[in-house]
Amino acid sequence: MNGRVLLIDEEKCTGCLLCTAACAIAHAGEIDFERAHIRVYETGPERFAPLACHHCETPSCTLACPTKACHREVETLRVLIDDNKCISCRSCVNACPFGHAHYDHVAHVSVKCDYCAGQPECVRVCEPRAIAYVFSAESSQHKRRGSPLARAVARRALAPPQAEAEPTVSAAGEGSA
Amino acid sequence: MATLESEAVVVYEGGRRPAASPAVTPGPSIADLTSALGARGERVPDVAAQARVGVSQSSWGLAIAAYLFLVGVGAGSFFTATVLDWSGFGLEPSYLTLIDGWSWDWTQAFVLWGPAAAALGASTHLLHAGKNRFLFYTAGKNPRTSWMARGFSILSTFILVGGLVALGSVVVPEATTEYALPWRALQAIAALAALIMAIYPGMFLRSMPAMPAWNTRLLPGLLTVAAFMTGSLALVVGATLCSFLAGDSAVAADMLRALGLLVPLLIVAEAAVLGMYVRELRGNAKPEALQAATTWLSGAWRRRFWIGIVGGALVVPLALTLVSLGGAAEGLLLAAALCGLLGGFLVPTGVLAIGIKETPPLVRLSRWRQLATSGDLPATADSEGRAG
Repeated sequence: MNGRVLLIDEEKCTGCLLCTAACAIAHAGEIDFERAHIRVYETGPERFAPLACHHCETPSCTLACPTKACHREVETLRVLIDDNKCISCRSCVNACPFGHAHYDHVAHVSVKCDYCAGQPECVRVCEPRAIAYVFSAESSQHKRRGSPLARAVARRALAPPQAEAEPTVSAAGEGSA
Repeated sequence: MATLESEAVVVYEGGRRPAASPAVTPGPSIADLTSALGARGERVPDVAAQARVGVSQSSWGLAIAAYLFLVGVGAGSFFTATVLDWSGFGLEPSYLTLIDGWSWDWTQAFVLWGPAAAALGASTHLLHAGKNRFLFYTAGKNPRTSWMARGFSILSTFILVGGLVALGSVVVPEATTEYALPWRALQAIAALAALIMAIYPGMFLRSMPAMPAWNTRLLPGLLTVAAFMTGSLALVVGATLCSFLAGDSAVAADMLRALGLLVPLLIVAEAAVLGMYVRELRGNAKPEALQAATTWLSGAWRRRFWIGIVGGALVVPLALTLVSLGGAAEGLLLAAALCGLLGGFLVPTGVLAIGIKETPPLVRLSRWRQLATSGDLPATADSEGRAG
């Protein structure tokens, strides 16, 4: 898919929860982890990975949604939930194999990661640069991580963007992933 | 789908960068966030809670269980009552004249209340919905892939056509004989909708791919037989009440005799499917399925499973029904029905309670790593840690 994706490096994640807090503030206006769209998972002893919606090619959430509130945006190929159409049946919550659609107990609708309209807050605040927002074609070169080429690509993908590159994050002074 | 690129790097396929300008305003600085998190004492995440490994789903609780139960009972009772009526085991008509020249067959109201029960179930589902619950009429927009959308369409058909049949049977009983052919056609449509509705709860839950205890071949069978069993038991209650109010046991004698034979068969069938379902869960390679079976057999649900479902819905009603067949007190069949209905409610409730979501792949991989390191990995386990 010729789009942009979240690239997660679990070796760098410290489990600090900044991404979750920033996500909760961006979408809910408060630090309420239950309302964040990104969640931190344990992947091993002292190893963590922040995970958000995968925007699957064949999303179980869109298949289960009875009202088509959960849909793939044609222009950007993101999988989104239209909260004006969501009747909160929570089919998407139970259908997602990764547990990335959540029920917002305050707004009373289902919510999920929408890449913050192209400027993910989680990427902006991730100090160890465990999350990056990169082109999928570029990130797919990580398939053989052990090779020197893949390591070089990984460094470039996780480095701050060059001036001519499309910025993934525009927070002044913070750099970007 | 998400692709696991390596042990440490995971790439999530997503869309192109949106052309629109950012909708999210710049958030607080890292220092502010760190300060806020530090003040809340939540620097260290409760990762077990975040991952929700081995925790039953909490999205669907009692309201959805009531919805599934009422839809099942309503559909099962309506279908059974219609088939019994066609087979000559229906209720004897008993007319009540409210207006001169217009007689109502009130007895039908005691057996054809299925659409009303389904409507009540639908309303519990509606109450469970969120802020846009009054957009429920849009719930049929995605029937190609969504079982809930299909259920909405079939349920609407059942409530409308079944309700029309029930209302007609009570209010204009003579029309059912004067217009026999169109009436039978209407009955057939309602019965078909009832049959599909009886199957629907199981298919609906089975369509959740991430729930190993639901995504099985036997769950639709379990809930379908449960719908017919509880529907027949509810008919026993309705027919007994009807004959009591009529003051004439002959009104419902044929139907109760037929139900006395049908109910034990359905209970035995339900017990068989339940046994096979639990056996399938225990033999499932996914640990969440085994955990679901353990929850029922010896875990948090053991009392409700053994006393409520096995005892209340199966053993006691079966024993009472068999004794009543021997010509014992007529009240035994009614007691069996009431007991079975109470136990029957625990079937969909219990199924929802064991909806344990499959462990996310990353956590599963981590478990596999730990098992491999400790040497406890089963010889036949695959790369995702599933025992073969």
